Amino acid sequence: MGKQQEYALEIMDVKKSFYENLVLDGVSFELKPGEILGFLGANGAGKSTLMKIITGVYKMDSGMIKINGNQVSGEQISKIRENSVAMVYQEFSLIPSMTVTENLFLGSELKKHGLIDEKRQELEAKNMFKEFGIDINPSVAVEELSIGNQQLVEIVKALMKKPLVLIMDEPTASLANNEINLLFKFMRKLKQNGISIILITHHMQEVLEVCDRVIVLREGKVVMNRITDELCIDTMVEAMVGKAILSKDVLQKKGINNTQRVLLEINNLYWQSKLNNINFKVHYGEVVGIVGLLGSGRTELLKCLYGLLTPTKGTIIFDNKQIEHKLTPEKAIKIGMCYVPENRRKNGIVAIHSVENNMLMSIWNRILNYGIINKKISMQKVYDMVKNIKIKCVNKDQEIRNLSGGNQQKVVFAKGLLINPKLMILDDPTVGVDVEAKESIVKIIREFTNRGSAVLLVSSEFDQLEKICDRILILKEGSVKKELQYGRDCINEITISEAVQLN
Amino acid sequence: MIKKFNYKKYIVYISFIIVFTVFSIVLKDKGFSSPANLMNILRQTSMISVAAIGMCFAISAGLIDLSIGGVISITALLVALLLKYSISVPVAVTAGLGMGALCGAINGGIVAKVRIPSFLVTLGTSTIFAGASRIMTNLEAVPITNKVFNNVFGSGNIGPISSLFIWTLIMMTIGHIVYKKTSFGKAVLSVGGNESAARYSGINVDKTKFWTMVICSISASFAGIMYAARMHGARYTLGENDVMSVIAAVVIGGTSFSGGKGTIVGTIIGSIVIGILNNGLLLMGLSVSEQMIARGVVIIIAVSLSLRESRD
Repeated sequence: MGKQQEYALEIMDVKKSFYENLVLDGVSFELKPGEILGFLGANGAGKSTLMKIITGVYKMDSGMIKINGNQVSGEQISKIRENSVAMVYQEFSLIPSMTVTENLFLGSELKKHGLIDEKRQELEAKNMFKEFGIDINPSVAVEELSIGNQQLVEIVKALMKKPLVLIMDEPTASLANNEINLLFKFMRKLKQNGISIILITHHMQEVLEVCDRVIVLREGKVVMNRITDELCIDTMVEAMVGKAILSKDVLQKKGINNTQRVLLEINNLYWQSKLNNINFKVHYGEVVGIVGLLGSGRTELLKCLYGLLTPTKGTIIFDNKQIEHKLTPEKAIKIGMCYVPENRRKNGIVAIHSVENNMLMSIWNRILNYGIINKKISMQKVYDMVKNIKIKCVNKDQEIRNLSGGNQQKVVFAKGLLINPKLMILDDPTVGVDVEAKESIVKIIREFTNRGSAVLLVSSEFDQLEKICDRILILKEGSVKKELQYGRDCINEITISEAVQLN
Repeated sequence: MIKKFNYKKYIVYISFIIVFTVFSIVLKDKGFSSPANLMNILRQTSMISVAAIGMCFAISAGLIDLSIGGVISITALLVALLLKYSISVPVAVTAGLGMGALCGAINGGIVAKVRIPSFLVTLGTSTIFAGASRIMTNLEAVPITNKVFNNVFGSGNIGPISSLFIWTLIMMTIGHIVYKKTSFGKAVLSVGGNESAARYSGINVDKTKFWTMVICSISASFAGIMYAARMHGARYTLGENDVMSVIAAVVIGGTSFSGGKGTIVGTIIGSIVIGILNNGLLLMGLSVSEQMIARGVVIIIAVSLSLRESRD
């Protein structure tokens, strides 16, 4: 790609507005060759618009972009960009049933006599993996790989056209801890090879760990551009939201005592080979956290409680009644549970439906008037929820897919709250939402338990668990290995991760 | 992000105007736009419209029913036979609708319990139902002499308006209310929009699919009753070629083929577009084979206009 320039990418005073709405207000920054740049900003700060301008999806209104010293403008734009900038999106673009090699060469297959030269492709794929020190067999189907390895394949695929700049949009969102470490190792390797990386993420710990420099975008402007060594998490958060968040604002915790009424009791619960003899209780007004690595059975446990899976053995007592018959989500909702799933797009929302239809999905049959939906009540309920938990939307008829991730998640919460549940089951409810939305979700949970209801929370974000849990159960290989209790044990990020790592 | 005029929302009205205008000009001398012919179109279209209402539910739920042709002929024959043996009209009609419900329960039961895609289930049952209707009378046609039945459900008029069209309006109103204003309608759309999210939200997906298939068959069987009354008799060929028209009507009407979105009123307009097409091609003097080709081409054009999804 020619001789080495001082900067791989230069962004100069880029402006962009949609209609009256100024999204990027003169953004400038530089990216050196082999630099890893962390890119932070709340949802709606303009991150994705900027990335789409860099990759050429959108046109900027004014400003200049130089790639490797060359100004990109006019006709060559797409060509230069195509060869120099690659982006790895949040959602995988791999085809699960095809092999790794087939995926890597999809659309640009190596050919011999007009037919695909599988041998050569496989060899090149192997060399590629070797070069970056990745241990993946290129001839297995992608669906057989772990999520972490799929992520690496996705990145290698982006590297096939040998870009100068690699943009990664929240690559760690679906990864377990050890997989994240693997990814970071890989990123450092890329850095050594002179590839510059822009890492978009919500996780500040990761930024500190792997990035050389951090840029924070707020309301379309660069509000911070500093070397990572000078930074701590609080400074970054402050830059992102424009004010100091009381991050140690701890929920009024209740050390449980035996006089409190039990809401949920689980005895000797088994499910296939994933859950082995699980026993615990949840009291009214309590927030119980469940921690465990991927594959520890945490999601399976929640699913058994909500009737998405049928336990092989064991009893569940909810609100003093033993659940006798086969539980389904429908019945679980009827007896007073709600569930916020881990994968919002897949299980939480109907993307093409309106905010209203999504929010009321579970309670349509409760607001009927002679069999017909009572419009007044339904509008009132949506209006109240939008106001109470501050959902940003144009109106109730806006399609939910046009909302930001954090606001989509708030709608999913609203759907659960409208059930008026005694128990909220939350499976990693803050994945992929920004700091502000996270804070308001914590607030929702808090208000909910203050009214006497209980929460069962799976989370991979230990700082969050530290903030809101009265009790934390450590799950490992399908059974509860340890219990941390407020007032008895010290609960903080360190003790939690120690307990999780424990053998 | 650039906001374009969303023509897709109105595509059914646009295609309605285009088809109507084209035929009005081309067939000016043949009396296409005469009131008599227009009422004739509505009369011919009614059966498609009523069957399409049920199909709109099925497609909105992410399902499809290919067996409606067989349901139409079975119902028509059953009602004709019952009337032949002097069974009263209400009983015969109820039995006909019951037959539709039974067919729908078979489809829906297999779809919900065995969890086979509705496309494959109804592909199978379509030949089963069609075969059964051939056996019923050994391929013989059954005439209907009951004047009350024929008038009320088919060839009668109230003033200048055909009773068939009045039934279409009644069914459309009921369909629209169920579709838009009941929790069942919302469940149908949720299941079609994202089955997994619907299940997580406490919607009984199997039950919803079952009843959707039942509704689809019942509306087809009502179309069968209308056919019988209009023809003053029943034959196993009734409804034989209607599946394509009915599905096309729903899609042209603006219902998403992948489920989750749709409209009943649009479906009726879509059926009328199909009806105008059938009538116009006939008036143009095309042979049956030529009509088939022309109809196929126009339907593909109309459907591709309404289905082309923007990818985001």
